Amino acid sequence: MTGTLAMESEQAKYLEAAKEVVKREAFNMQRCLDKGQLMDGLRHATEMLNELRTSILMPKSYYELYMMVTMELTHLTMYMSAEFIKENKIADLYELVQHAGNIIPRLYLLITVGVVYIKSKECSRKDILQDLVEMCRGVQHPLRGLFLRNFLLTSTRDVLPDVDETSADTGTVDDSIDFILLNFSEMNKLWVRMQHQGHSRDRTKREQERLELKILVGTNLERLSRLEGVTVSKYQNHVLPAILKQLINCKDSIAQEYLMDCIIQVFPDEFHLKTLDIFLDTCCQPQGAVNVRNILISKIGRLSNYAQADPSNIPEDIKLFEIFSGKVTQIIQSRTEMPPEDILALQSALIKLALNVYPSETGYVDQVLQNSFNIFEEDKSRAKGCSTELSRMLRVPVDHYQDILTILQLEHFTPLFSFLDHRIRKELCVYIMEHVIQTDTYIDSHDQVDLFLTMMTCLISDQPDQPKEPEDPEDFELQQSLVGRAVHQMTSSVPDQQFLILNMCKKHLLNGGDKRIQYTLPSLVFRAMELCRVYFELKEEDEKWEKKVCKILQYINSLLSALVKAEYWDLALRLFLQSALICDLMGIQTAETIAYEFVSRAFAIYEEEVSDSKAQLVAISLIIATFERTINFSEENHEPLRSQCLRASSKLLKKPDQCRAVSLCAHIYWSGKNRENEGSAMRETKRVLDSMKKAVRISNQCMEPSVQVQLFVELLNKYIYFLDNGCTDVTQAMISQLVGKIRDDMPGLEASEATNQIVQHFNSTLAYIKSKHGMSFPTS
Amino acid sequence: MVSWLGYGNSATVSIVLDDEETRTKVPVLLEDDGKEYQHLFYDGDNVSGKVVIKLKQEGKKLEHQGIKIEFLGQIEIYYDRGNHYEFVKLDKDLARPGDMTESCSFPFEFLKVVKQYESYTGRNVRLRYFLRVTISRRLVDIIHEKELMVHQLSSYPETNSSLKMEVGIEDCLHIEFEYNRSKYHLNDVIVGKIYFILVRIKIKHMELSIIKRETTGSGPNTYNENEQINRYEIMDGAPVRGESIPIRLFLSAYDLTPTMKDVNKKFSVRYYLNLVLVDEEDRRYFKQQEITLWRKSPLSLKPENRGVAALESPQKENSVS
Amino acid sequence: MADDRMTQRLAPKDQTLQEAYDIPANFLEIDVCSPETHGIANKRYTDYEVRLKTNLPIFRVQECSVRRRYSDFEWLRAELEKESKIIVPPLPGKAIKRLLPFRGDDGIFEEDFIEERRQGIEGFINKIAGHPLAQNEKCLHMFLTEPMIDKNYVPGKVRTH
Repeated sequence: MTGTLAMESEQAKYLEAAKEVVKREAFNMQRCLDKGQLMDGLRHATEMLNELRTSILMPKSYYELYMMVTMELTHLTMYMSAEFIKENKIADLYELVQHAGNIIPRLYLLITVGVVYIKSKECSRKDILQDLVEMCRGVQHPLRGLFLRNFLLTSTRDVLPDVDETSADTGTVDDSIDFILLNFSEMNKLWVRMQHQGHSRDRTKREQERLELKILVGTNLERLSRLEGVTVSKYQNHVLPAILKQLINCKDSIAQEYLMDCIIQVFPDEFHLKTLDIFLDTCCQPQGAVNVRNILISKIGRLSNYAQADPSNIPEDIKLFEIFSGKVTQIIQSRTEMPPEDILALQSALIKLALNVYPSETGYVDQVLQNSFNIFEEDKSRAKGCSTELSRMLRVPVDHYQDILTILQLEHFTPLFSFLDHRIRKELCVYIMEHVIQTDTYIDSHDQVDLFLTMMTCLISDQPDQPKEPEDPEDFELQQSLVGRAVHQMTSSVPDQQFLILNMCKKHLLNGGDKRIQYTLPSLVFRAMELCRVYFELKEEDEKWEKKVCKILQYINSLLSALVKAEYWDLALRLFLQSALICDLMGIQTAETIAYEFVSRAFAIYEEEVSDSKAQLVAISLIIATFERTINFSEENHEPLRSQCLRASSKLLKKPDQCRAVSLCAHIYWSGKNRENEGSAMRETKRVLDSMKKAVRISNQCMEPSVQVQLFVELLNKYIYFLDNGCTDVTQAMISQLVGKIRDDMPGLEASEATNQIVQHFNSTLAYIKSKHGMSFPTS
Repeated sequence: MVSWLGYGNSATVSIVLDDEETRTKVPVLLEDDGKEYQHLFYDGDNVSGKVVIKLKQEGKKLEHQGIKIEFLGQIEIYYDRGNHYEFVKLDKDLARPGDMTESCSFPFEFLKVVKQYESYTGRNVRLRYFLRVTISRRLVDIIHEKELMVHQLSSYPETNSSLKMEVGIEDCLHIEFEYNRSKYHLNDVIVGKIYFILVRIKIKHMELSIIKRETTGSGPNTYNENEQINRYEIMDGAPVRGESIPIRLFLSAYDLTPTMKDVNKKFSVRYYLNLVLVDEEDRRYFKQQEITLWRKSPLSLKPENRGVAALESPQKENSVS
Repeated sequence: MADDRMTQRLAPKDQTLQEAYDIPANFLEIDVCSPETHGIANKRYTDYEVRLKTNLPIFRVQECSVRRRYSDFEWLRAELEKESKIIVPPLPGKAIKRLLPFRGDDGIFEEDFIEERRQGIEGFINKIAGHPLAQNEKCLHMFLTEPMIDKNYVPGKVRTH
């Protein structure tokens, strides 16, 4: 590190010194020119140019110096243009500067004078250009040669013959082509040779330096591309083959890669189209260590943009995709050492090409997928360690189509998943699933659902290659909830189809095992209930609706049984109750049986599996509440169930729980409905009051005074509810008695936040009674 | 001329050529770095004019033993002082012995004078032509000399093959050099190329220089004086095999003479092209090849201003260490 | 139109692409490195790894490594003076002063000195091996490529095969 720093400061010092000389000599040159002393001016110019003979500057510093010197040379050019052309002395000058003893200054001056000479039109432009490019052979030092030839190229940029020239004497565009091609091949040679300079341990550093200089070589190609006279046919028959010949034979990967890319970037697209074959064949040359990958990708990208800009850019007879696809396959097959990431990058590029240029041809994309599959299938080792790349490739069509249905049409999409690591595979599945949800795409046939869920296998069920250690529970929950949400995207507006979809989902999701179904099955249960409602709505149109509903109910039952089997008691209980409500809604015989069954199963779970008292209260409250909402039970079924509710309530372990549950039962007798009374509430006042009294009795047995008072206040509110709802048998005496009890017990309560709340609740209640019923009780 | 011993009159002598106004003059560098112009003659040119004698004291008598003018061609070897070899000597009497009392002039004429050599000034030898007027007197002659420049023109050589040869160090360096001719006129351009066949040394650069070898004396008393006329870099950096490096060297940039072989058995001036390759350790590998220089008639040369010095600059090398 | 004297050239010979892009045939690199000091007291000495890398066919191997001490270099230098026609470049000095007793430091075994000497002999050996007229000396080849130097060898020239 210190070595580098020291070297950099050394460089800066050398550069500074050289620049000083350049500055001084440039100043002297200018002064002499101002006085019309050309000879002295040239002598100073030579001194200035001598600085470019240095061997100690690294490319970056040399470049800086070169820029400074060539800038100063423009003064000389201007002077000569003004003074000499009119005197016809430029020819003498062309000879004179060749007297310089050192080759570097000599050639820089020769180029400078040569260009002025050409502009003077006193000479054969062709001869001078040829002379310049040939004389530059004298500089074989890579760095100095590259800069000299760059100077040649940039100095002559305005004087190269182009289309407008037809006279053989002044030169034609063919002369310009030959001029640049020769300069190019000489520069490429120097550039490649540079690699072998210096100590072999500095190889990497030299590669870096070469990369810094690449633009010098590339400028040749750029200049060629700006010649209007370089037509497609000249490009095809002369220019490109000449460039490629250098490129192949130089056997230097830095040069090959850069120049290929350069060709792609500088020449117009229609040229590329015409020369696709020869260009691609070059890429396939086995002796080139060309990094084909980037070149092809660049080329594909370029033409794909071109086609995208205007599809008519690509003539009918050029089958862009076929050509590229064929070559890519050939290259991959011939280069067995090609790393998988390169293979995949190429395939991705092909997919992009297919997507951009032939958006409607999913077959092309599928073909690429198939090729990739075959490559990996043939030699599985080639797929090692490239999951990320493969996954990236698979995301390309996902992102492009924004439509899972199109993806599902790609036959070879899912099979490629088998080459992904488990983790990456799962990430991809999550990605796709989120994509489906975000784009709100509906998968509306059971076949597609089958395909989709097969693709998602990794999320749906355990995999042979999954890690031994259990997954992070949070991640797992997120993934499975995602599956649950995705179920809602599997929707058809045709009910029968929807049923097929539900069955397909069930088939897949039941494979998920106990730990997954708690997240995934509830969605299915709700989708099934929804479908019941749909059929119920359609009962006038679909005569088989009853049968279908029953099938769905059985379907639900089977799902719930799976949850029961996996001992998700709470979940099962709730879903049984929810399902019972749907059954009840259907109002048909078979459904009632099933509803009865569901409620019974809920009771069974409650009785056998719910042991915690709090949970018990919650469960029984749910059961009571559900039962209160039913409308189509026959009295025959209704009676035993409501008795069971009351019985279960009175058997609860804790008095307050008993009290609350029993008082809830009063609602069944008040607002419960059954088939016999056809939608009107039962209004069994006596049973209502019995239940209430029973509740009051139970609360009397409560040992904890504050809880007791709280229960009294709650019961008081219930009485008032019934009174408000027209239960005329609730008497003022009942209320007074309860108020009295509360009044008596209240003072004995310990002061606490809980007590305060009770007092407040009680006072509010009294205030309500007074305003609503005119009953007045003094506040406590 | 000083009148010494205070005896008699004295005179100054000058020679005026007939075609002085029209005859070409060429600059000649003098030993003290000064420059003078001399009139240029070719073989067979007439040399004519008049000798003008001006008396110091007009009217006073100048006694003499006769006045003559000579045309002389002479070779001087510097280390052999006093030995002047006259290879041509013509004389004409201008006046018989007698007295001069007033300034006067005498026409003279040497017709179709043979001048078989070229004027030359070298390190060890000089070949010169001059006119000498002698006013013979009893004690001290009055002598006046006028230098004449003679250029020896040649016509285009009948045979002028190119020089082409493969040279090298076994297993290390093989090159082929080619110069377009073996004989060049003084304003000519040496055109050539160096082709590399095998390069197993680390070449740093290559130059082509002209070496002038002046040989005087003969046998055991032969003296060679080598002078490197120029240093002309033709390649920078190290080539690989198959590389052709162009050469184009303008001879007009240098002060050269025609090749002279065994001039009057006294001296020779020969020229060599010296191709030098320098490697990274500054070892020099060279090959010398003789070329013949000749003088072409100026009429066939393009009239141009060739008096410009080469754009040489002090040598400067940034060596890598 | 000016005359063509100022643009005269001989046509260059065609260079094949193989020639143009082949690795230059003049690769020669000798590193002197990894100095190690061995032995104790009077027998103490430092040797260096001398590593050759080349594509010159005169060296029959492309890579090779030997260990040499300063006195070996002196031997090589003396042999070349005897056998070759070249002016043999000098070796770095013998550091007589450092060999004196009662020095406060490690004398010729000081790190700085070893490094200085390493640079010196590296320059020396590269100069020799790159010299066309020394390159074929038997002593040089033995020095660079044989594990042990046989000082009783028969001098001679090596030929390229």
